[in-house]
Amino acid sequence: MANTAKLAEQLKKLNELRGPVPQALRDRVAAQNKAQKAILDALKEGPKTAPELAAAAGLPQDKALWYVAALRKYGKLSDVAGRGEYPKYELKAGEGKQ
Amino acid sequence: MEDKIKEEASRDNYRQEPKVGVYVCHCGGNISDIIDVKAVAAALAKYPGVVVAREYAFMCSSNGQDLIADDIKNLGVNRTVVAACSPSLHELTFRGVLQRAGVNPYLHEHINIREQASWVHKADHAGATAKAIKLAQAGVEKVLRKDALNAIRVAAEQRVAVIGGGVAGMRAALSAAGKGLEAVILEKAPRLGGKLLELGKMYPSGEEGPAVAAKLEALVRAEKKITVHTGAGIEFVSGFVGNFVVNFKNPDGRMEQVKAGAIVMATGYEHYKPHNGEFGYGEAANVVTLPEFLALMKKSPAGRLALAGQEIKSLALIHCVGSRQVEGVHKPQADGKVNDYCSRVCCSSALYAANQVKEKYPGVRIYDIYRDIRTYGMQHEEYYDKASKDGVLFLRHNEADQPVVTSDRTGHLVKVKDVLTWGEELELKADLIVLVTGMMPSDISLIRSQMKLPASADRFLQEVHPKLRPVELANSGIFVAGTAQYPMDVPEAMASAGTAAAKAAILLAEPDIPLEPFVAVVDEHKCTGCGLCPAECSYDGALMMTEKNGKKLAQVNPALCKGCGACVAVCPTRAINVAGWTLDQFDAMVAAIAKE
Amino acid sequence: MSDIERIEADALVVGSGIAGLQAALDLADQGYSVAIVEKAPSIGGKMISLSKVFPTLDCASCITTPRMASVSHHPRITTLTYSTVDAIKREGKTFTAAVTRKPRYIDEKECISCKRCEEACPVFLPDEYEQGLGAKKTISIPFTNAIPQLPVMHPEHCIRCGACARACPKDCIEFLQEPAPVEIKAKAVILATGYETTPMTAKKQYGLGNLPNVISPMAAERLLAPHGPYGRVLRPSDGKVPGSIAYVQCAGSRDKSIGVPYCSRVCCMYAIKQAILLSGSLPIADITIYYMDIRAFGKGYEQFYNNARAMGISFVKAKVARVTEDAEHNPVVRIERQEGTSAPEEVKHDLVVLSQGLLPGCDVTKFSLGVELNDFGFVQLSDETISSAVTAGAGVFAAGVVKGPRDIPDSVVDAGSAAMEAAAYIRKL
Repeated sequence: MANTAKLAEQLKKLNELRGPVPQALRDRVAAQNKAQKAILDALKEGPKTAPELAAAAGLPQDKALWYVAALRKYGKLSDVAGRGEYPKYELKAGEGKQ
Repeated sequence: MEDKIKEEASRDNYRQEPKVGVYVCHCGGNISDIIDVKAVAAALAKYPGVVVAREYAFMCSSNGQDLIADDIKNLGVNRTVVAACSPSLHELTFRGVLQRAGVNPYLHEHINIREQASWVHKADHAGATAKAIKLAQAGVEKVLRKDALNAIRVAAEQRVAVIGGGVAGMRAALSAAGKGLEAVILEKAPRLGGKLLELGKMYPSGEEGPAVAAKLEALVRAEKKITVHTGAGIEFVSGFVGNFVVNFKNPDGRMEQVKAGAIVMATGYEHYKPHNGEFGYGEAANVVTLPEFLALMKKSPAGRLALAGQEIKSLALIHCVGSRQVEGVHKPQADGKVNDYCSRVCCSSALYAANQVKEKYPGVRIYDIYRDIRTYGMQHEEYYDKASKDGVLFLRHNEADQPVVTSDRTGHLVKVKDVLTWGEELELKADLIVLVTGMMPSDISLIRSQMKLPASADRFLQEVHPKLRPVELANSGIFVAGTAQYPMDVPEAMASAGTAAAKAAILLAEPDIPLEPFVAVVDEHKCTGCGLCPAECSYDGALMMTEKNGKKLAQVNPALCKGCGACVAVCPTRAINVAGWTLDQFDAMVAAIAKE
Repeated sequence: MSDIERIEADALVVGSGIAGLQAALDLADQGYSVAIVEKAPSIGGKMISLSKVFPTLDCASCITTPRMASVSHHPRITTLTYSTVDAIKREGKTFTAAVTRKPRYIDEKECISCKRCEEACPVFLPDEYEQGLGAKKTISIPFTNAIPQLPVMHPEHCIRCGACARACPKDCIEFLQEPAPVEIKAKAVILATGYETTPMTAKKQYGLGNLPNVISPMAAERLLAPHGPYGRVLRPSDGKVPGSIAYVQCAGSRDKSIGVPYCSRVCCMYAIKQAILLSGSLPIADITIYYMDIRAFGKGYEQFYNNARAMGISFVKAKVARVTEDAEHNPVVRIERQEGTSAPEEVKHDLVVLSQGLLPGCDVTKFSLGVELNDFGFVQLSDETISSAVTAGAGVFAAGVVKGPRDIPDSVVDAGSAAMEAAAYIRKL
């Protein structure tokens, strides 16, 4: 439904006004995409804890947890029920409910 | 589009084919963590009479409310069931949604699946879900049988009766008058000012209590809309919201009457009176309460602290006398209860007094015996600091290890198990013991019993909700200001009184006040005039026998009826019902719940 | 857009936390018109982000959302969110406020709050509503029960991919939106600008905010909140369920070394409340509160404190000299007990909450209204033995924590009296 001509014009004008998107921001988003993908790939093997995901994705543990929170909020993964010192997460699609 | 809504709004909703909308709230996770809200909504969607059933994170949020408004507009929903928290929290919220959308607000049923399902069945998700479904179905059965009701409107006296002429009473009257309302202050003492008149120097301004009282009194006397009755002994309070009557006796013995739309209870506090022998009080000489000490200090000669001619070289302040009491350790009051609450202001008062002593009589040794120092106010921490710097010696004990005072002619010996020196039992000698006494509410048992005003376990008047309705009593039209509610200092009492006046002003903003229509209604065809019901009614004048066309009938005064239903229970012919809560509705709800 | 938006109201309320909301409602319900200006994208202030509130343990949302909804539906209240008050001028009996609506980069009238832009956006940001523990997108609706439900875009984090605009069913993304000036004329002003907490970086001894498992009480509120960042209580360094949690009281109050000598009034009670909530969600966890004086002075508070003790929460009278961490990011608290033994001890916990104090949220003297501040930057009343809301500036009233720390019940009560003073002032004009 979006007006693609208007969008293109706006983005063009934006580039003129603010210059190109900073490389640091591009790098950050690329790193985010990589981290997300690594976490979701790791979960394809089965449920994992935040430290396990950190190890699999090569991320610091606090960062891994932050991505877990992000992916959880946006519906990509969910909690595995049960108790334990480190809760496990699984892919949302694999949840099997509903 | 807009026009269409208005047209719907004017229709008689209950004549329409009922279309029930059911809304299941997650309450964040309060409900949805336990109850399968999707399953509840799905089950209700199939229930007869229901046209739509939805679930949402927070039904009370703006978005949640819009869901209902949209269904009313787009699907023709004309009755609603919201399965969520307690109706005491949000029933009014959703009635508001219906009203704004042009549906009679009483065609709503609020079902509590939080307190009554998710919270009490935390370990049984399936059971809680099944129960929520049953409750919601019962709600549908009830709402299908509801009538469109209208609020009862009563004309209101545009006047506020303020009971008590201390800080809170004077401030409440000033604020009400500032808004243009008439205010009448009824003070039992011969003068305005209340406890301020007894106080010496007050923190934080350093002004004398009577000077503060005089400032407020001057403002009160200058305000034409305020009438003051001092020496007024209240005899009888009656009536209901908008139409209260306060009967009082003047100092000359004459009875007078004030009619008021609202009442502000600014009845204040009394100092805790130590029982005989409590730390030697009443038995040994030179054991006084802090208010007594402040009065004595005023009379002390310049240069040395002396009481009744005897010089005081050392004194011990003992905190929490009559406050933070512990069952089994402290002697209970006449009602069998100890004062387990903190009196809030005494720590600051005590340290402010200690600083005054140190300022005037630097040589006097002061011991401060406490459990926690609660100098919470903005400048109060300075009093604590200053006292420490000026050499006040602090000793701290645990609740179970109360200090022990023994007295003889040479003075007092105080034994304290001091945690600051790792539990060592210290002994100290003091010429004077000052008991830092707490606050207790004034004796207002007469008004309380006449008006059935609620009090909390601490005996102070009980507000409806500390955050939602902090100065309103459950009795509609009666507000609480100042220390009648809980211990507070002067600025805090000011704030509370201003808010009590604000709520009175909001109540009286219109010439008549809308009341809930949930009152008893008599079906004159069924009533046999047996006369059983008036005896069950607890509200004077709410239900009486009358005669109509030669037939004896029960008759309800809707302004006085509280809708308690006591009359309904005794009627042998089911001729009385509480509107919005009829027996037919209950029958249908029970049937829905009991259905296999 | 050359025409400047103009609003006239009886009263201008600056700030829409619980005090501002209540003051606005108490005025509007008496028949006065009110304009509220809020700098955040949603009304509700700090309270809406809390989990549950003492001493009744009501969920904060359940108490705040109805007020937020009443304000947003009130026929006599106009609310400007994501807007700043740049200046207020007094001209005779009228105040004129210059307000800037910050650009959300969307067409606010057309937006239907569908969240598709947020779902489409590929860039994650730390979510300040979750105290950084969770994530949001470069364009996102601030939180579940925000009012209004409008997304905000942060252009400095936008890679200009256009995904949001392509996802929007109403074509309302406006990349080129500019700030819009608004002029508000009012007869009285109520300042309800609230507080900020003392910074985590205030004390070197407590780790300067660099220890991942030493968190702020606001972060702890989010951990406990129903829609919190993890959906349960976990510690931020590695997602472990904490088995041992400690509170360090007065970590930002009663402390001259950080310029906050006063007591912040709420910290004892929020710590006790959080401890009670934690022991509810983590029944086997050990919870310790290191304190100097427990200040449970409000109605029902002492009983609340006694309940917490009866539940097994351990209250330790101790000075906390230092907070450090071990190699596994376990916080190590060095305490000097005030009872029992005197030798300093080091105690290891999984998670530590620093009970921060309250600082003024805004320097209201920048409005040059004649309002005076006390030594700590809070509004000084003109005579607090006469009124609890009248400031030194004629027609300017103060509600809530702008006058000094106070808890929610005290702020709600306070707001009503500010509304009443403003009403009386307007009436006499």
